[in-house]
Parts: sequence; structure tokens; C-alpha cells
Amino acid sequence: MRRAFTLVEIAFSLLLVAIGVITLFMVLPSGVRVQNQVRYRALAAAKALELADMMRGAAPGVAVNARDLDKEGVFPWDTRITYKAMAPDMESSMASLRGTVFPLPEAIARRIDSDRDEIAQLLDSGAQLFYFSPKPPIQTQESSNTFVSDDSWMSHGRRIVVAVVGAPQQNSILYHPSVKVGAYQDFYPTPPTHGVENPQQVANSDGAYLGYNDPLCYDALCRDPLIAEVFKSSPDATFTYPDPAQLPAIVPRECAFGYLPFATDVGPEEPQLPEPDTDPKYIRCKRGALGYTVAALWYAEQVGLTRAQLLAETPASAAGFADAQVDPIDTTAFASCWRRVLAMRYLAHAATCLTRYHTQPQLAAGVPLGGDPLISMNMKGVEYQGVNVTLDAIRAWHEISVRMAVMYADQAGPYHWGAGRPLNRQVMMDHPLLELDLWSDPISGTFDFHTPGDFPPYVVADKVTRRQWRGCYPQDIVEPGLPFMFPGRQRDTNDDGCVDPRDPAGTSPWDYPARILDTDRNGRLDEQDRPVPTTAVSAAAATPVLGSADWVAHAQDMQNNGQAALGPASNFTLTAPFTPDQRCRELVFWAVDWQAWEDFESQPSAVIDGGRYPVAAPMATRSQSWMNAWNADFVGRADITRQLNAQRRTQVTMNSNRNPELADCFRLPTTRAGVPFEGTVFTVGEINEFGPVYENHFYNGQLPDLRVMGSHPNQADAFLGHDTDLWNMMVYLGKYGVNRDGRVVRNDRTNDDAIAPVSYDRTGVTVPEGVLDRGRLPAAERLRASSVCRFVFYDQRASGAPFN
Amino acid sequence: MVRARAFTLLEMLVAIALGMVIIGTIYSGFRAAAQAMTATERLAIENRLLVAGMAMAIDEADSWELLDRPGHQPLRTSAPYKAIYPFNGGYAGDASDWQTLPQPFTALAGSWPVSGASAAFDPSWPAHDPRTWYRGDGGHYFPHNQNGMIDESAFGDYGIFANAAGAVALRGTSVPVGSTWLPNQLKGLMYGLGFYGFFDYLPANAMVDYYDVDGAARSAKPYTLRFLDRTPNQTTTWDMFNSGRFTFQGTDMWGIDQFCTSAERASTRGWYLYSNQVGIAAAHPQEPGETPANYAERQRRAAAINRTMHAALRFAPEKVNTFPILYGSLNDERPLLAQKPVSWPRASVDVRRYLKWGNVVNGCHVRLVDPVTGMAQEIAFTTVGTTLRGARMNRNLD
Repeated sequence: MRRAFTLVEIAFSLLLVAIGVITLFMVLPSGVRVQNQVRYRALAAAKALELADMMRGAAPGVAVNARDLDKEGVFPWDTRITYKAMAPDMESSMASLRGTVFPLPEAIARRIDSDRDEIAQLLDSGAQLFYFSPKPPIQTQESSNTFVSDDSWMSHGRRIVVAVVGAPQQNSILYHPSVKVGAYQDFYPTPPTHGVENPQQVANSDGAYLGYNDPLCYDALCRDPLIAEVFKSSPDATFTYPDPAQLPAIVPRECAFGYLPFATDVGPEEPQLPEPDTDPKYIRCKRGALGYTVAALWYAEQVGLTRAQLLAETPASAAGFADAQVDPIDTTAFASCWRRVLAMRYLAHAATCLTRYHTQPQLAAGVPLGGDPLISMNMKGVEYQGVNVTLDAIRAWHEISVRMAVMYADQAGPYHWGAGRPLNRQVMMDHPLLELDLWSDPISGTFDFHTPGDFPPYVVADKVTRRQWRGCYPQDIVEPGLPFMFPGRQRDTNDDGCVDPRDPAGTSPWDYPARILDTDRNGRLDEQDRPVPTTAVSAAAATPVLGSADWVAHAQDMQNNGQAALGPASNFTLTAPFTPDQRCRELVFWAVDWQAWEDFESQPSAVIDGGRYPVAAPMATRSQSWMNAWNADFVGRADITRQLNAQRRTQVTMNSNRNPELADCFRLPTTRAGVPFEGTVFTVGEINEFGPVYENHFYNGQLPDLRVMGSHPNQADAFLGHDTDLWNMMVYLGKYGVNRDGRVVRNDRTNDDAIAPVSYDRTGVTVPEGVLDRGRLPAAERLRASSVCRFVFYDQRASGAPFN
Repeated sequence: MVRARAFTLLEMLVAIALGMVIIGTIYSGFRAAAQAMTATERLAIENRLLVAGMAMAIDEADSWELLDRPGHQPLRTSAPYKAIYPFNGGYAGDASDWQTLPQPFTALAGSWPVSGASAAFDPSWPAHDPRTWYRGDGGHYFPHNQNGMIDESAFGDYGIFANAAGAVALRGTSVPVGSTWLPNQLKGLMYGLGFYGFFDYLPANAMVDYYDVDGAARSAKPYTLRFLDRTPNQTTTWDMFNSGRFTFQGTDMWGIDQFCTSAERASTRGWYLYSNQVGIAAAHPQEPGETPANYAERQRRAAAINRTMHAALRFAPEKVNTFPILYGSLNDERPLLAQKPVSWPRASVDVRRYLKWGNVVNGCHVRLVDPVTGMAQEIAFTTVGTTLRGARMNRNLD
């Protein structure tokens, strides 16, 4: 008889069926997981392309004039922006506003688990985890822009985080501020490089303003004192009119030699062509052009160019003349050729001015530098009355000027800084290679960082010790000159209308020290020179004239007591060969729902690299004479007004030293008295509005008062009792949180420049204001990141296009 | 004989219950399986479309086929087109003459300026060649106001050294020009290709500045570079020349910009500033049912984009938000698939090409729209692509 199934058998059978079904259940979702993984990988691949494209983009963190902001300082930690902002490595590219990848707050990143604790280890090593803003990577300076919606942003993309694995290698840096940013660049021909020293009209310690408008001739102060005569000749240059009665009417100045008197007359009111030659202003300009030409010709003769040869040049002979002047085979002549390059730059510019005030027949016949009526043109004992300048000579001088500049740049190379690099030509790279010297002792200094009342109260440090690696060029810098930021004068003490080496030094509190670079005076800047001051450097002879006895004494003082700025060229490794494993790094992508935490938007922004913040270098003050030298007090930089002036006319849209999340920072605290507050985020327009009004503050640890931005309620209780500076700093740093899910602010409140709807926003959905969102998970929860993919790459060694 | 006992009611109930459990379990399993398979298939379709869309976008970044392909060549002007000669290139300015306007994919040969020996595009641009050296007054900034230009020759007539024309009137007398090569190369590229192509073709750090002659044959700088519409219907203009050279002091001898560095380094020499917002656009093919007039207007607008260089506002570069307008104008979303099952998402690809602060940006958008809910999902990224010059060379246009 057949026995029926027992209950045990049936139960066992059911168990088997259940196992099968459960197995089936377990298998089926794996398909979804696989597809999710495929999605993540596709998105990661797209973003990896974007990151590579961003790094390729030459100047990832640099805005329109950021490169100009990288002024010279006294110490390496002054004003350096490009050190980090233009660093060519991937992480520096990522932590800029140009892209759409932002650093994840560390508090959030620390809650994420990953295989082998890779994320934790990265964070421990100082790296950051990045997330992608849910907006198109438009590569503007404000990539987190306000005009596109995130509504259609693929939800998987919100979960992707990325980090760079592997340490950055020794890459190039663009400038070494404690030396000089380089040879500068100039158009050829142009007048002597000059500027208007107007230190931003910042109130100084006297409560007055530092601003004044005396033109300052940098070429004379930093390259060659004789150039001052080209800019504006000294009173012993005279001319004699046949009828002195004409003098007040025609040339109401004591002297008309040089660029400045001429340029002062030439202005927007200049009559249009054709103009009557009898116009008094026209005649004055004409005389000014002649006087400018005389001064330039005089300087050309001073540096070894002969008048007869110059006047005999023609366009056909110009190339041969120019090449002979910068022939590197004649090493003796070549050593001083930079002065002739400058001389021809000025002479060509001055002589071309004649073409505006003379007819073609006059120019063809030769324009007498004595003018019409002919007068004596005696400049410093040299008479130019009988000198005729022809159109052929003018053409030749122009050709010589441009050609000499190009030839000089080619022959001397980027490590010869006597004359500026010519802007006239299209070149890929015309910039010295530079890296940090990691083998020499660093430069160091201890500062009185805080003077009560100068800095906001949140700056509490009294003493700050700073250290910085020296720079390292592959070869010595020849004829380094002086940095334009510290030419050694700040005031027209002889009251001749311009600031130059002829102004007496030592009596004016407006003066500030010259930064002598070649302290051993051998014509080269190398590791033997000690241009970085210490407290042991004397206060005496702070503003000596280039090459004078005082100059020698001060240079010797620096040589004895200063610090070296450069390491030896033998430590330069930038061009050394390397193997792939030495420079190989990885982009690693993970997927994790980090926006699930309740505080994902209220967490402050990630820590910002302090290297992105410039510390402005000292500048002149008005009444504190003890600050006029590289002495202890100066190095101590107790007065903030000295620092306020270095970064001027800058814009806060410069993204090199900003919180990358700033465009999405909440303007108001996200909680008040413990109650979540729906804050609003910045608009691009608001951020840009900071610039014209409060532009200095960013660069000195201060921030603009954001409460005055029009729409903002100026209510103290809205800021938890914080004072303005502290509140501003907190906003700037994202302390009140960031709109990290990309909910878009419609720009209808504060920005006058209405943003038009764009076709990108196709959904037609009215996007809510940028409000504080909260995730479902408490902050105590942890989440596991699943690895998505890894990409291998090399960092660039040098920024792709330091000049564009 | 043992008589078989029938199932008891309890046994039957247990059996039925077990059977129902089994059936229910299997049903649930199949249901879950079906749902999972549906979701998986859905995701798989979306992923395939997404990946295909990304591939298409990357391919488009190289091929430029959305803008120029056999059968659709809106950026190739049919002859006769205007030859570039007058001071302003001879163009209307608002692209109303788009039908005869040289476009980014127009062959340069017929539209190139016809003066002197520089009557053709020279691809070499050797940096050591004196012809390629800039010979203008780069040191002075000549502001303009509503009353027009001031005298640009206040510091001399630099047009005699290099000029797009072969001769210039120097205070009424014609004199020969020293070099015409560089001005004509700049002029030809700018007018022949539009601004995107202009910057695309220029070598690194090329000076974007040249002299031409006005109606009286006097030296002048073309206002096409100088007076640029920031946005449609805005007439505020900015002087573009040399702006990278100077700081905006506002307190110099003239009360305006001039040759002053204020300790600034002379830096920007090229198209960094000029390329603040420069896009390239083409009208997509005529839509079914679209009127010829509407299609023509779309073509004119595309041509206007190619002839517009949104101004580099030097110190508030993005305060005036013209970029969203440009960015939206460049949108030319094209379907990934010509035909598809109705249940599939609608996939589209859009590659927007523009210049931003010296960077060439290929903005890729891949978008999926659910056919039932209408919900859109999008991935956007940038990538490296072929230059316009590369695309033109691939088409044997130079």
C-alpha cells in the first residue's frame, strides 16, 4: 500500500518551493541594481569627461582679471592667489566656481562608509569629497548659476560623489610673489610704463585718504632711473622761444620735454581731424610731441644708440639695425641691450606722435625737432634744434622697436627681465618656469597679526608664524629690476607732477621701501640674493634711488640680514623625466544618497583652502614714518591700512578665492532659535554687486556688509546678535547652509537685470525659491557608498595658458 | 482488506490552504518578477538611450553634423555672398542680410578681403614672421562716448604701419601702408566666419586689434569689434580694444582709462576678454508646416548670434545676465531616434558650442522625456571636441 506524504515531507517540499521563490525574488531586483549601476557609470563617465575638460581649460579658477590680482608681495604668503587658484592639478580645478563640482561638507562626508574605508582615509589625508551641482556645466565663473532648473536633472546624478586618489605631484606655479611676477609685458612701442597711484581712497590711520593722482613712472623706478627723463624731463631741459611773449599762450608749462606734458594735453577734447593748425591747443600738442621725441631721442643716445645712425635708418635697413642691437654673440653688447630695447620702444612711440601733427609733405621733408618757428631744444646740455625726423625714419624706428623687442625676447629668454616681454606677437608660452623648492629651507616670519580695532573680532591671533617654500627657477634671473608694486616711491616730493627716482627720499611718510631683489648686486637674482626682509633689516635708507650709494648700503643690509627667496637651480625638477606611476592619479566615483540626511543643506560649506585667500601685501601709509622700511614694525604689519591697498579695483567675481558654493549659499541663517528657517540664496547679481562697493574687504579677511544689498532686512535680531563682520563672514563661508539640491531662485527680487526665461527650462514648472530642504534621515545615521567606477589620469605639470 | 480512508476535512483544509499558499506565493513571485523585469527593462531602455545619447553628443562635438551635414547646411551661404571689403565688412549688422552673409561654414576664398597681397587666408601664421606682429597703438585706450569716437590718432597715425588697406590718408595725403597681412587676416576671419570662427582660428595670444580706413581713407579701428550688441535691442556699447591691458582707474589724467598700469602687469593680450560670450548657432531644418517666413527668421537669428560678441563687461562680467539669453539661443535639441516605440522615452541631444573666457565649451545635454508622465530627466556635461577649423578642414573648406 502506498503511503501518503507525511506532513514533514510536505513541509519540506514547501520549504524547497519557498527557497526557490525567495531566490527568484532575490535575483530579480539584481537586474534593477545592475541597471542602476549602469546609470551611475554612464553619469560618472560624463562627469569624468567634464572634469578632464575643465582641467584642460587652462585657467580653471581664474576670472577675467584674476591674473592681474596676483600682485607682488614682500613675502610669499602675500597676495598669492595663483599658487592655488591656477594650480594645474585636478583638485584645484574642481574646487573652483567654473565647474559644477563642489566640495561636500566634511561633516556629511564623514558619515559615509565605503569599501576599505577609502573615503575615510581620503578625508584623513586632507582630501575632499565632491558632489555635482545639479545644473549644466556652463563654465561661467558662476557655474552654479541661477537661471536653470534642476527639475530635470537626473536623480542618479544627485547621488554621485567623486574624489581624487593619489597625491598631487610637484607642478609648476605661475608666479613667486616674494620675488616678482616676472618680466611684465609691454606693447611696443609705448611710452615709459607708468600708472596713477591711487591707493583706492582707503582711509588711513589719520582718517584721511591716501589717494592722490600723481603719475608714477615704473620704468624709471624699477628699470632705469634715466627713463624718468623720457617720462618727464627735469627742469634743466629747456627750450627758447624767439618771442618769449608766446610762451604762456603756447606752452604754459615750465618744461615740455617727455611723454607726460604731451599726454596731458592730448585728451578726449582733442579736436577731430582736420583741425586748424592755428588752434592753440593743437599747437601745444604739436610742441609736446616734439618735446617728447627729443626726450626719447636723448635717452636713446644715453644708452648707446647714435643720433646719426638712427636718423639715417630707413624701413629697408631697419631689420639689420635691430638684429645687430640684440645679437647674442656679442655678449658685452647684449648684456645692455635691454636698455636699447626700451629706448627704441619710447623713441618709436614718441616719433609716431609727430604723424598726427604734421602733414605728409612735412614728414617727407623732415620735421625739425625745433618746431616752427624754430627754437632751441636743449635737453640736459644736448641741443636738438637742428635735428630733422623724416617719415622714413619714423617707419624705421617703429620697425626697429617691434623687431628688437621680439628678438630680445627670443634671444634672452623668459629669465631675462630687463625689458618687458612684447605683447605684439602670438606665442604659446613666454613665461618662466617656476616651481617650489622643497629641498631648501623655507622662508619664514612671525607677525603681529592682530591689532585691536583693525581686524574683526573673530580674528583672535596675535602672533602668526608663516612659512613658505622658496621658489626655484631653472636658471638665474638676469636684470631682475624691481617689482612694480614696490618701486620705492609713493609721493611726488619734488612736486614736478610725477613720481620717479628724482623725488627726494627719506623725509616723507608717504614713501615706502623699494624691494631690492638683486641684493648682492651682481646683475642676477639667484639663491645667493636675500630679498626677503626680516626684523633685522635696518629702517634706514628705505627708499634709495636705484644704483645710488644709499641703494648699495640698503642692498648690503638686505644681503646681510634678509632671507633668500630662491633655491638653487639644481633643485629644479619640473622638466625632469618621470615614469607614469609617479604621476598617475585616479578619479573615483561613488553613489550614495547623501541628500537623505536631515541637515544636508544646513551643514556649512566644506573647508576652503586658505591658500586661495590672498593676504594683501603692505602698502604705504601716510603718517607712520616708522613703517617706511623693512624694519620690525613694518614686518609686523600692525596697521591694516597698509594691506588694504594692494588689492584694488578687483572684483569679487574672481572665483579664485571664493567659497565654491557661494552662489548657492543661504543669505539668512537656516535656523533661528532652533526653528528651521527657509532662507533664500544669493543671486549672481547680488554677488557681483559686492564688487564695486566693497571690493577691498574680501582680500583682507573682511567681508562686505551684505545687509545693505537692498532687499535684505537690516534687522539685528535676524542675525542672532552677530555683528556685521561676523555675520558676513559666516554667510560668505556658507555657515548658514547651502542650497545643495539646486532648487532655483527666480531672479525677481533683487537683481535689476532680469533674467529672461530660457528654453532650457522646458518643464514650465514654477520652481520654488531656494529654500532649506531637509532629508528623511537623522544626522546620526550612516550611509554606505557603493563604488561606481575609477578613471586614471595625469595631472598637468603646468597651467595650459597663463596668458590668453 | 484495508479500506482506504478518505481525506478528513481537516486534511482537505490543510491541503487547500497549502495549495493556496503555494499558488499565492508563486503568484506574488511572478508578479514581483514581472514588475522587476518591467523596471529593469525600463531602466535598461533608458540607459541604452542615455548612453547612445552621450555617444551622439560626444560624436557631435567632433563631427559638427548638427550644424553642417549633407542635406542640411544652413551655415553655408550660397553664392553670391558679400565680399569682405568695406570698413565694416559691408554688413547690415542685424543679420538682415543673412542670405548673402558669409557664415561659419562658408568657404573663405570668395569672401576674403581683396586688398593687397593678403587676399587669402594664410593658415601658417608663423610667430617669427614680422608680418604677424601687431603694429598698433596698444598702449592707449581710446574711449568713446555717445558723441562718437575721439581722435584715435592723438598719439600718431599707426594705420600707416599696418592696415587692412594698402594706403592711408595721412592728413590728406595718401601714403602706403607698411604691412597689410595681419589686419587682413583678422578682418577676413572675423567677417568671413563670424566671431566664434574668428576666435577659433586665431593662434594663441593673437592680438585682436587692427586698423582699417574709413570713408575718407583715414586710419580707424573698425567699430565692429568695438561696438557690439550685448543683447538684442540694447545699444549700450563697450570699447573692446586693449581692455585687457588697462585697469579701470577712473582717476587718471583724463579721468578715464589710459596708459596706466597702476602696478598691474600688462597681461591679457588676446581673446580672453573678447570671448566672454560668443556662440555659434544654426537654424535647424524647416519644421513641417512651418512658414517660410518663420524659417527665414530663424535663420536670421542664428546668423545674428554668429555676428554677435556679447560684450566683455570688464568689471562686472556677469552682472548683466546676457549669457542665459545666449545659452538659451544656442539650444537646438534634436531627437536621438527618428522613430521609436510609443512606450519608449523620447530621447534628445543638444550640443551648445560657445566661448567663455577663453575656453571653448561644448555643452552637451542628453534628455529623456517619459511618454506617459512627461517627466524629463537630463544629464549635462562638457567635453573636448573638434574645433571649427578642424570641422572645416574635414570638409575641405579652407
